[in-house]
Amino acid sequence: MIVEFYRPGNSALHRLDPRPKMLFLIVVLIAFFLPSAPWVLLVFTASIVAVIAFFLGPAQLLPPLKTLWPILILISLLTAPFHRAGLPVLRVVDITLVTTEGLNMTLVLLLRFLGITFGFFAVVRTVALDDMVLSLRWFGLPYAACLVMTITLRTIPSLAATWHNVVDAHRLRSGLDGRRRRRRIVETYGPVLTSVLIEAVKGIPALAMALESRGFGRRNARTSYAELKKGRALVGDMLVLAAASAALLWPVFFRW
Amino acid sequence: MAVTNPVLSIDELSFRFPAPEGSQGIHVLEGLNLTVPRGGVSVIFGRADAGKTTCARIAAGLVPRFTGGAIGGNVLLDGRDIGGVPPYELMQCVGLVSQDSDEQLLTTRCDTEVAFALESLGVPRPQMHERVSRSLQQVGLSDFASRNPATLSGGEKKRLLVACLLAIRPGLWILDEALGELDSEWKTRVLDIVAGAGGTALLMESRWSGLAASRGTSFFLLDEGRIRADAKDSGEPAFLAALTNAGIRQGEPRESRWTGTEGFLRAEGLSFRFDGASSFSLGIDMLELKFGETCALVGRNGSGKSKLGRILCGLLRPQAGSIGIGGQWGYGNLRADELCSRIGYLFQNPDHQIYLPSVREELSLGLRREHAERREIESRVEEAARVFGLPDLDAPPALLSYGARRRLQAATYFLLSRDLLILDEIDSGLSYREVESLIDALASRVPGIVLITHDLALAKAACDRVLVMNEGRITGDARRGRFESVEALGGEAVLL
Repeated sequence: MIVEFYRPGNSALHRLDPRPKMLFLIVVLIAFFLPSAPWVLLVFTASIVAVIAFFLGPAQLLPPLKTLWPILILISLLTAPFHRAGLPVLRVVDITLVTTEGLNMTLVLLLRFLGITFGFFAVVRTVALDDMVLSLRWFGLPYAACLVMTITLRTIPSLAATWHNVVDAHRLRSGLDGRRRRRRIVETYGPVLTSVLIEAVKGIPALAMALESRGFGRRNARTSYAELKKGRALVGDMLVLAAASAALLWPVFFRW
Repeated sequence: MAVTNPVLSIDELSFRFPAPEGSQGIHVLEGLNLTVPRGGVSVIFGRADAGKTTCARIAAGLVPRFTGGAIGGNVLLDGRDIGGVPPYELMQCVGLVSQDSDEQLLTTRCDTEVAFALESLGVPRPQMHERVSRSLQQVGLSDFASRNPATLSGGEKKRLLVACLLAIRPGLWILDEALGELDSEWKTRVLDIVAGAGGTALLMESRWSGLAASRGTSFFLLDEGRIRADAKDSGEPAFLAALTNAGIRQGEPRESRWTGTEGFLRAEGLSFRFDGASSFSLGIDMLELKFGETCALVGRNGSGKSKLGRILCGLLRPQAGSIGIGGQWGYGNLRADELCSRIGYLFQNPDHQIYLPSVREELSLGLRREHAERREIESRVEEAARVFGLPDLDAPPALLSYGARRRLQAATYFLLSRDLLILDEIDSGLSYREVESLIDALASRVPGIVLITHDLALAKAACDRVLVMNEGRITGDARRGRFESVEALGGEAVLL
């Protein structure tokens, strides 16, 4: 998701240092999980949506929504019936299906889910994977762990491509009509997965070869090509995001 | 050849991959003696499975470190015995660009890909930036610095890997079938880059080419694990004869395969464009492929050859246009599912198409799905194994050699009833003889063959018709006997 969602750019969001942005994500998580009133969560979500729309463009709101819509529908349908407190809103015969509490919880869950997702999206859309890894190194994560993370994230899209290739290979070999083919594909998910796993396992020595050929394993101190902000620039970004964090956390202090 | 101060010297090298318990294993290399002179371009020719890749990886310190196996003999790099020396200690002496670029790419940006080795060497940041920028510029990828390497074309990935080596300037550059995906201009420029960096290029090639002949300064033929012939001059008759005998160099022009079979595939008004920012578009007004003929589809990287192939067999849905098959049964447009069942497609990577635990199961899968009788399946599987040289039906495909996996991939289609087969760069890593025998075997069962390739010489030699693609359009079309007109019709597109 991180590799796929990142888009290079020069917006104000892109220019912010990734370290405070990553810390800000923690604040977003805290803010959305605090027991706040729905209207507070609505203000938070609307603010994040407005920031994305303003700095990255309204069209950028679509990719996360495209991924999320089935989950949003499930939350909308399944949350309310399990919260029975409050006044009845929808009754069928003598059975209460939806109460005010149920509606309230549905709204809270939807806003939490949307707000956190858009918060993460705003960060992964504007921080390159390498900068993210560099930030994690700055926070103290060992180089080897960061490298594993980079390679894992790089490998996922390539495994996905292999999966599609193998599925295509099945389509070409089976030569069945549409309905039967769909049934056969279900039957052949096992072999497809096996093939993808074999590819992945076969790739392990090749990956190790590539790493050591490029110097992984040397004992000398490693330098870094990419550089994060320093001094005033970093402090400026920290202040901007500290102000945003304070804005998100004010309901805690005022017990809303 | 007596050589003073060689960059690489191999003496009585033998190597055997680890074998399953109870078996001896096969010697990939046995008694290999090789001396690569410093400077210039040395070329090792060999068919698939001759031992080129193993030899290259041993010279780079990667085998047997990552594969296991029994090794004997000596390998001297710049006069130093590299036995047991890890690859990261050799990175400034030797660099390797392998046939499959994807297995060598590590990061998510082109500039960090080039910088990876410099970071390992501890090069200071300002110097690193300068070297990364210069390397990318020299391979024509300056504008791609922030691009994800996974999104590059095959040729661009190869250039990126060349930039990775250029940044550290090793003494020996081993290019293992690495030039195959580059057009002729870039093949030449890569060799110029190696020379400009003061390095020695060692090319591993499965086919003779004009470039190897014109730029090579020493030549070797590797066969069955040892050097069978060598030469300092590309025109040495004995060496050329040895290459021809080994099927590395084309012999006499072959007869046409044209059988005059009725039937054709016709595509009309095809239009395809990716969603999103890609500027690529494919537009085919009219294409007719006659059954009974072997047709080559050639063109630069990104010209749309594979896209067209995938559309024709129903794997990609065009935004507009129709595809139909006609002949004795008349002509009618087909749905994607029908196209899949009548037109086969062999992927560039055979591993994406063979996925079952044994050769036997792999070969019988299609027949079982066509509800063939058990006895018929057995006899046809054995026939396919004989025709394609697959002696062990119980062997796991994943452990077969590259050449054998390629033959198995082709054999699966040999057993299926298809009207047309599209072979997408199946010539990669195979000698002329190996490609031609694969096509011959397939053409004996499948009415129409389309070979997608970068090798115009192979296309002219092995096919009855050559189509040239450029920027998503067919810009050249010529039949056997009139191939010289391909250049005229294709213009720059034939500079492959």
